[in-house]
Amino acid sequence: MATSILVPPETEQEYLTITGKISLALAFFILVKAALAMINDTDSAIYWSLGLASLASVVYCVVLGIKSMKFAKNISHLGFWTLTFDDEYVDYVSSFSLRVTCHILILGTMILAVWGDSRWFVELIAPYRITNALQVLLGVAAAAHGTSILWKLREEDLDE
Amino acid sequence: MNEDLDNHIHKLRLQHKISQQELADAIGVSRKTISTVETGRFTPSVVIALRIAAHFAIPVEQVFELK
Repeated sequence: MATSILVPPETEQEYLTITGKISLALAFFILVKAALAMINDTDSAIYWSLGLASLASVVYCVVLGIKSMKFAKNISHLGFWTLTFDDEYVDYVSSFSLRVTCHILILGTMILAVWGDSRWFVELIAPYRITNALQVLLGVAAAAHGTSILWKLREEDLDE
Repeated sequence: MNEDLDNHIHKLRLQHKISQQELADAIGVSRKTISTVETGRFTPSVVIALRIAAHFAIPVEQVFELK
């Protein structure tokens, strides 16, 4: 079977790197949102600092989102939306990061689904609510997704 | 890391005086694919293994071998 290279592998790698950065920025936003719920004094410097950092992460997310749109015409629709790629290593990294994220989400939601309403669990996370626990779970999952992508695609010295 | 598989890509590249990027471009994969295969951190498909062997004009068994 003849092989045809439609998309340069570096383009796919660049797109997946941006996706990893978006995941990390999203994780930061969600985790900061959860942290803000723990601060009672809404006039404190830390509250405002975290609020500004949260806003900055949203802006960064939007900028990266716009930047990623340029890949929509270079990468197949399937690759763009489901993070499936032609380059073997890039596809392996994408699958690996999604597998890690999936495991975290399944384990976390299973805990929340089984014990979320239990008194001991509510007392354990008090004064925070189940929504905050979900935010932390989502934040950790997004952070794991972004970190695993950026770690496996990190620049290394060329071994020539 | 695949503990069962060994490869001679680095040696072959040095013999042919080509860089990872040049080999990657020649067989249509990313440089990251070549570097991770070469260091044993990623096990490639049969297709890539055959393409690497074809590039060096040798049988695939001379590029990859079981330890």
